[in-house]
Amino acid sequence: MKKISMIILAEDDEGHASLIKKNLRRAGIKNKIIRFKDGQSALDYILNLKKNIKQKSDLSVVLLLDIRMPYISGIEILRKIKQDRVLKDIYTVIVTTTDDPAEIKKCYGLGCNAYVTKPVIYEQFIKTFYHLGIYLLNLNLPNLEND
Amino acid sequence: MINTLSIINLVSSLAILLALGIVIFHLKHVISKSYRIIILFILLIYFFNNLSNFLHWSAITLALDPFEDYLLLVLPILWIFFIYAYLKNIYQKKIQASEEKYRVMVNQIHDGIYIQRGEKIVFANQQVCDELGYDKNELYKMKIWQLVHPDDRQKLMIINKKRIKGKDTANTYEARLLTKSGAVIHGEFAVTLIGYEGKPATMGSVRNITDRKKVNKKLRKALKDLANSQKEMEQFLYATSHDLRTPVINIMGFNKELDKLLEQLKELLKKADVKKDLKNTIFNKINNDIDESLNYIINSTKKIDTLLTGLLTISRLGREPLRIKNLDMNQLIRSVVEDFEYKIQKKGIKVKISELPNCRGDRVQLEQLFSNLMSNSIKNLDSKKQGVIIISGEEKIENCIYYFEDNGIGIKPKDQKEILKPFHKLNPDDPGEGLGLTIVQRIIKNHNGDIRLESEVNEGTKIIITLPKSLS
Repeated sequence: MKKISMIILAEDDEGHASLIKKNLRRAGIKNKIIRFKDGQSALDYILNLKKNIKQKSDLSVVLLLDIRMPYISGIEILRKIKQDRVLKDIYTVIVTTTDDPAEIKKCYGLGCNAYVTKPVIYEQFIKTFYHLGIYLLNLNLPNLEND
Repeated sequence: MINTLSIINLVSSLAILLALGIVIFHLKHVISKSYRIIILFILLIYFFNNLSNFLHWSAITLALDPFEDYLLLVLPILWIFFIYAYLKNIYQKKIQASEEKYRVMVNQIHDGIYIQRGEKIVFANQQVCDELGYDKNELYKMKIWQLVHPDDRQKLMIINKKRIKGKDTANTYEARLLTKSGAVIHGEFAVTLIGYEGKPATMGSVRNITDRKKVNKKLRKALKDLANSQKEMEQFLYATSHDLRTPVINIMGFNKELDKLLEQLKELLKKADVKKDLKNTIFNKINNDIDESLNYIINSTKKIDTLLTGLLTISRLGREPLRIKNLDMNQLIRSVVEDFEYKIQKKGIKVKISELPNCRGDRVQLEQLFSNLMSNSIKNLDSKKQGVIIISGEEKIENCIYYFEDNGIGIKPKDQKEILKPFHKLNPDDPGEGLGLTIVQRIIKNHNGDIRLESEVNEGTKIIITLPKSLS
């Protein structure tokens, strides 16, 4: 049983990334937040994580994943992670502007752990990420273990 | 001795001679040769008979008496011949007229008509010759399969074989033909088995549908292009309205962040050691000018967001596959109305729902449809009187009709045409995006339904919706 050790934020929009970070911090998240501005670099980082697991056996990460991103979409990343024997344990929250029911269904079908729509109205945006932050703080996560 | 009888006889003989003359000289071109010969013979016999009678009665000579009997014996036979020839002539003229009629028809008709026996064409009308570019004699010498496009030959041979054997086979079909110049024409055939000169044969009519084919092909392509471009448009609409959300979130977010920063600045300013006059000016700028600017930005951005939400809904309606099922409309409408319970209570609206027939459709979309109508009706009720909304329906032979009525402010005739267009709002202060009825229309289109509107100012609005009937 591990508390969250790191948040990976895959978000191509500079502004959104900043707003998300700000509001997570407001909720009391003190962990490292690493941000990637395209799908490819996020995926590369995660795959690299898998290689180095032996050294850092206490790794428990949360991935905040946008869907529409350059090079590789969030959906593709989600598919790759959830099909991987090791990486499937990464707690993955889809964070996107899309509230398309078909998209939501698809993501849960691929095994995302939560799906959050970024609210356009900022009061709601603040609330959403504040609650998400609180939620993540109290989340128990499994270690990523390579056997 | 000349008596009355012999005078009559003489006159009658002269009349016969006159008739003879007429037949010989005057009716030369009127009556055919064989008739004239028969008539001449009859007249000659009568003439000789008269002559012999005259001679007999005048007691000049009895030399012709023995002939007279023979002549009279032959006469009935000649008469019979004459009548037979006359009747036959009438009959033949009739047949000729009828044949002429059919010949003209067969040759004037725009379809090719032919008779095929074995592998030969034994009859073809002018149209066949014109279309294929052969003359009749050439056609009658050819094997029929030479006229058929090689790719269609096998098919036609099989059909023909079956038909000749009396088996059940296609009587109408399409096949390609080759003209003398080698061009390909598309033919539409209608054929039957007939007896021709005592043997089974095939009679067919064939229509040149090459142009029709071309037009159809163009039409199909145009329709496909249209569907594609509509799909592209929807995809484009979806992508733009979706992508525009990202900057909108930023504008909203950083606007509020600015707000927060200003609050912090104000706190800092309170504690700061600055001249009071300057402090007040700064506070004034922050509280009035900057605040006003930020409010305008926020409100405009909210408008953009409502529009984008509406556009997204519309594009989604076009992109998502329909899940068509039989729907319990009583239950569906009840659940839609329940969603408006708060507003209904608050405004004291009477909602009357009568027993509704079930229809076939996509539950989510129809819920959206009736929800939009409900929202419109509630929005446009007359505040001076008790609001009433009546929902009813009836089942027709082919579909179901639903009536959605309110006693609201109504729609002016000039607005009635405009109201289904996107972004049209009856009331400019309405916070909505002006897409409600556009969405309704799109849903109706998805269901191959129909929407009509009847409205009178200050009386209310009635919306009539046709949807497919549920299958039992």
